[in-house]
Amino acid sequence: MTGTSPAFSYSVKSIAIRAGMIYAALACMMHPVLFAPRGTWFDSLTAPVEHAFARFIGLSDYPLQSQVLFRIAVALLGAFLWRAVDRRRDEESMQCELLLVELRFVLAAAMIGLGFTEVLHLQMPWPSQADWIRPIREMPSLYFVPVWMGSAWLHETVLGIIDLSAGTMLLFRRTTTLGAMLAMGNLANATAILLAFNDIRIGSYWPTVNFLLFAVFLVLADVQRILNFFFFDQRATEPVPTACRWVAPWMKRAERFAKPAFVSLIVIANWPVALGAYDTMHHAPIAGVYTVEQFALDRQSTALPEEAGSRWLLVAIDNCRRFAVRTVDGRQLEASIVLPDVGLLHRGRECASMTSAPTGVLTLAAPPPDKNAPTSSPLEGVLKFSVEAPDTVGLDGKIGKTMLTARLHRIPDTDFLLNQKR
Amino acid sequence: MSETQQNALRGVGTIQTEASRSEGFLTVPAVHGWGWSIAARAVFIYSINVLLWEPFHLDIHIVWDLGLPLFSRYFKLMGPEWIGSTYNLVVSLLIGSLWFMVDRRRKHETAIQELARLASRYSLAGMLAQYGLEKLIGSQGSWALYPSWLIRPLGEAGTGAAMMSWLSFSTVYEQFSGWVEMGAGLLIFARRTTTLAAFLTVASMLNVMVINFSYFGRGTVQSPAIWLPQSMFLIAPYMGRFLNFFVLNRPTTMRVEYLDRPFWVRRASLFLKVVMIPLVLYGPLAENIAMARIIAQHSPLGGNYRVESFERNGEAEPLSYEFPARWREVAIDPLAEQIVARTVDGTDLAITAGWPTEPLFPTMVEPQVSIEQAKRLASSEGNLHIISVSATRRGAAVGNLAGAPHAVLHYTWVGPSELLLSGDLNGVALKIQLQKLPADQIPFFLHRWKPF
Repeated sequence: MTGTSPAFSYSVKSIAIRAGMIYAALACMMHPVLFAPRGTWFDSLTAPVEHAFARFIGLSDYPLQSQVLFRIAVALLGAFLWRAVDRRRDEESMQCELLLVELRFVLAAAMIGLGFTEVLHLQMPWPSQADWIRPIREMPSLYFVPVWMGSAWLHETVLGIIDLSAGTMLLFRRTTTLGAMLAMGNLANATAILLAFNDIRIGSYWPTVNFLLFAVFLVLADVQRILNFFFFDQRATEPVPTACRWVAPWMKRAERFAKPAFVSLIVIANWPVALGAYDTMHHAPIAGVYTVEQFALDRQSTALPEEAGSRWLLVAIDNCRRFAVRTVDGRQLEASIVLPDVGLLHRGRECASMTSAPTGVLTLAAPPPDKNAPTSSPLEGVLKFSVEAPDTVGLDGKIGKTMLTARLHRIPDTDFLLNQKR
Repeated sequence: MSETQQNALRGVGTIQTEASRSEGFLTVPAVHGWGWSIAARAVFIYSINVLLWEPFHLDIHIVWDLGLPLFSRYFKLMGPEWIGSTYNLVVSLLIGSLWFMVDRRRKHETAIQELARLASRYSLAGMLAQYGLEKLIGSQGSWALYPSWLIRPLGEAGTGAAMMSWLSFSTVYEQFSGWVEMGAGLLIFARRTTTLAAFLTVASMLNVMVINFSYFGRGTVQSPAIWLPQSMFLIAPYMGRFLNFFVLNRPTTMRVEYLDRPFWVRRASLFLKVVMIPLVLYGPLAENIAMARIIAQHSPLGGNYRVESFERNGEAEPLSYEFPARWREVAIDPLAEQIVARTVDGTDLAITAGWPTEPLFPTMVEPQVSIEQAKRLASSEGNLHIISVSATRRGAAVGNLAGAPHAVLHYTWVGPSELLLSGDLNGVALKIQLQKLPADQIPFFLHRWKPF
């Protein structure tokens, strides 16, 4: 056998390939869209270690940045260990082939997951009524991006189709290059948006940068053929070999089952997305924006001069997620609508059912903390609603310790410029 | 026998002799058939029509548009905004077909193909430079970040303004999106990189079409669509190769024909290249530099204000539901050309001041006018001459405003961020104390990075 490495010789390429494989596996398993949403066993396993690592390197305030460094550290450590125990040290080309296959499938899973949520308009849903009444300047920039992109059904659908197409193409060797190039374009755009619209220290671009680098690597693996295609049209290009040159017999056997198994995993991982999309098709009849025609606090309809600004002017109710109020003095008050004992995938149907009745109760709680969300004063309380006429809703209840009664008159959705092209 | 000779016998690929390489033969995609011949002639005429206008500013529309009234009477398939561009395409096809029929010998098909490709490349280069430089230098969409737009709630601002604000929000995104288009525009000048540039152009124009349709509506799709004929013509000969390479994974070759150019043509084409490239780039560059100079002008008046006190005809109006017409906040654009006052009941008073041009696009004005306006408004007090006032609530007109022309609003800085506005608007005497909101505390701009 030629080219046998000395006992403790670690070629940079060999380490890099192994590190790349481990990193790609981590990126796949720890991504919220793919196989490891929060709360799964893998995330609960890694989260404490990740947090400890972040504290150690002083990046606790920037978890996304520390997460990338954590993965690089784990990948390098794992690569060294793997190299140390791996007896087959003369098969770097095989390792490279494995790396490319892994990158293809991880990127395919990411693009299909992303594309699916875009096509079903879950990634960037239609703006909530709570945002219809808020001035744009009050929205942090990164919050604003999905809000306005959600207002264009066609744009999001086209993005989703491109992502789905890229992901599907990546599953087949003959179309991998085109899939990688499409993925590169979309991911580069998403990365640029995340770099441009948020504090660069937070690192919100890292999830897309990871996958962008995988796409770039796949394109670079075929760069000679691509250059011949675009720049030297008189040169004939050869097709890529579609069969992998596996050395070990077990790899050949595994190949027959691995691809269908992986595709099945992608389908299973995206099944809740489909259920979620079906649930969002159910709308609350009382969802909308209302002017507040009558308003009384503690049975007093006339406010003291110093409280005149707190009078409610507009109320926005969406599909049982957010309840927002715009006051005379220009503040926005917000609450989350609580639906007890309802799973995430049934929320829309439960909300539609509950608010279809002529009367009901809205339980309001302070919204969960979110650094990216606009600043609002929290509302908490319980309000009984009664649908007095097709466009009139009465509210009666308690906000904090204050009794509140109001009569709301619906503003037609089409009065808002946002909805006129919907 | 070499592979090249074997391919030649099979009719695949070409033989490139040392002689042809050294004598500067041009290679042109080998396409045959009457469809290609008519397409080449039509695209050539279509592209020349574009080039005569920009960069040469030769207006031939007096002749070209002779048939337009008749065409617009009968062409009703799509909206009125499509009439002009469809007419151009139809006239080009008609003239191209006529030329094809008249030219019975058709001895110069390869040369005509090459001329059509050349004209397409240069007309597309001008367009791509315009699209790209608008972002790189011209701050495309910056009007959507003016205070008069950002004061509006999302539901009332409309999707178009929201999308335009995305383009100019950050230098990072401007440079990224601008270089995609400008890069294609520069690559298209070179024959070697034309294929890549053409594919990028098609992708870019389709992207713009989808975005325009999604956020502005059908009428704005025709603007990028008018460039598709040339870019599709450039990539069409390569589609078979594209499919073989990227989809079917087959060996690919390209059939080409050689175009022999006389010595004087080779020298003339080099001269034309040296002249045409700067000429094509000059117009977009000059226009966008002027735009950037205008957008860079600001006055201390520009910004968002809270109304601290409000008097109407001498009577103070508190901030209360009982005074629905009381101003609650005011937004003044950088050169005070547009002022929006939002009242308690959600009515927007849009006050146009300064100069009688479209306030949404101050780029219609010469930079020098903007510079002088900025200097004028830098003083501690002055007058804003009102051109018009309109009132809308959620986009619909409200009330009946009269007496706006010749109105004057006097402004005085009474503190570092306290502004007093007084004057007569629509027969009503107003006195308004405003408090300017610090720009660095506006959530929307907290993470904005735009050094230039």
